[in-house]
Amino acid sequence: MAQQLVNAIVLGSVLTLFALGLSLAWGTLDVLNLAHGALFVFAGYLAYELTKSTSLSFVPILVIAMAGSGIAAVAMELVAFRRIRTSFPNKRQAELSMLVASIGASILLNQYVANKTDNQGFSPADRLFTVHGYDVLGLKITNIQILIVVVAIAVAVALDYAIRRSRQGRAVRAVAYDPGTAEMLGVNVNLLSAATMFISGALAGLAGVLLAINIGGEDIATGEYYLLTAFAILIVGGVGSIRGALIAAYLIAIAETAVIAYGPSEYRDGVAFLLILMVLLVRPQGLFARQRVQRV
Amino acid sequence: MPLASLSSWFDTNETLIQNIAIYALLAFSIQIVLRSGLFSLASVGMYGIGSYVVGVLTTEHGWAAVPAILVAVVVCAVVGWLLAVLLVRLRDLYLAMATVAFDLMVGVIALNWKQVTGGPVGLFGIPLAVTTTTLVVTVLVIAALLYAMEHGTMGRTMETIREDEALAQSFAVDTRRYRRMAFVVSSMLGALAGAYHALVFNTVSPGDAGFSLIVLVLTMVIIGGYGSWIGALIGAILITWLPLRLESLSDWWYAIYGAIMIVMATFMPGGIYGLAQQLRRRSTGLRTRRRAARGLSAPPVSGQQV
Repeated sequence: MAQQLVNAIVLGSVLTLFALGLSLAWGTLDVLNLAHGALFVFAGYLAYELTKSTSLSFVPILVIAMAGSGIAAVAMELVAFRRIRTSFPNKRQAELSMLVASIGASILLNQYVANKTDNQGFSPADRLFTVHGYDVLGLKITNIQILIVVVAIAVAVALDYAIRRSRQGRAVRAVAYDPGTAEMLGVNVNLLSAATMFISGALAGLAGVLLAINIGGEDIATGEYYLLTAFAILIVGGVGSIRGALIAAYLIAIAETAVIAYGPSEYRDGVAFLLILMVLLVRPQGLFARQRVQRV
Repeated sequence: MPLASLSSWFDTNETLIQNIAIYALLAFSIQIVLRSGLFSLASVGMYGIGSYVVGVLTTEHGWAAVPAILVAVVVCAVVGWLLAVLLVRLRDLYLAMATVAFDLMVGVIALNWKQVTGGPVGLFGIPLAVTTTTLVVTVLVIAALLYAMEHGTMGRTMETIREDEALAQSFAVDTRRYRRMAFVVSSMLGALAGAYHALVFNTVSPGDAGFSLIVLVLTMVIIGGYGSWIGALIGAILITWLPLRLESLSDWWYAIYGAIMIVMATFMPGGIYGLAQQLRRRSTGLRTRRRAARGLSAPPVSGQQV
């Protein structure tokens, strides 16, 4: 029972890191980035490649991998999303086209990784991070799991604080609300959008590298499960809400773990989808977001 | 002689044509809702339901193909209507999310309801009851219906709802009724595509209607252009045929395909159909201007010609 809870908390932490980046991009830039899963796997691949070909230690490799996925996300913003957002006649058309552009980006990145790894799964060598197991009051937990939980909570708290309190955070919220007016008030919208995409991509990368160490390997299919579950987290927590995403990630992780442990375990994947449908039916703005005013 | 070469071309490309026809039906089903301003992807789930209904009825209960298809379409029409009623408040990406969740639930149920759906292996031995000719004729008939709809009052009403829902309501248009109708028609088309898929390829498996199919069909409709059924058809042909063409080029074909998608999505707001219309408008604009310029210098045209 308690062991299941530990597993759920670790899963919830990986999901939090993954979902925060996705939520940031959708909440501020209206990009539902379907390439987020590909960015996640891409960083895992970078870490694997760097471990193989250099003698760098864990922290620099993690930083480089995060920068790599962050830069890939910025490239998507510069090549496609920005142009679509500014030059398309209406918002709905822009949303659809950004979705398809992100599908293209996801195919491109995934295929790059697949070709480089001959379509095999890859796992960073033990040299990168030596996993130790501990016995705490009869519960099994590893050092990477502790790291994942600490990092996820720290990142969520820091991001929440930055968005709510800092000057840049206020600018990000202004851009999310009305980019035109924000621009007029002296916010550099282009720079801020690129920075937001960078953070979004880097967070996907952080989750990707930590997960690769924790589960001992990933392949390009790994991203899809996290992407679909992250959709559920965004819907349950409310798009753009960092606290909501944090709570929803743990809720869904606990629900999935409970179904695996005690329920019909084959229905594990159904949990997230059922939650999406139920929450959208009852409270479309998410369980933890404030009511959104809709104008005609 | 040319007829013989045509028939041999047909034989070598038969699977391609079957795939294009089935994808075209599914792309139509998504195009219909997008054109009415509803970002619903529910018809992919209906595709799954349709193929399983036909699969179960024909293999377990020995039904003939035609009644099985009809039952599949009717079942999905009812499910589609229910979904439309349930999801009445949702818009844009939220509606997309909810319908994607519905599609994936269908997949999860197909995977786990083993007594009926055959679980992960799916269903085998479905009769090969639908010929390529039937497929192509169906696509043409549906296309003709869509053409009539787009050019009639209904098409214009739906366009108004898409552009400005409040305006449509102020003209006494029952927007919710149209919404439900678009949902139901889309669901029926999705079911038809799924039923045909089962009867052409004689198997059904839970992976058929997964997230990758949603992504594929959405790509077809957006790249082709959701403004018209023509766009959906162009998209279905291009996105089915292009990977096969690129595959022979190099190991990097799928990456190239991804790059092409990014470029098309970024530079063509209305897809290929929208681009073609823009070009046509520009060329007719030029012709009118040239004619006007000529009219200035030439003697006035006689009144009879007006």
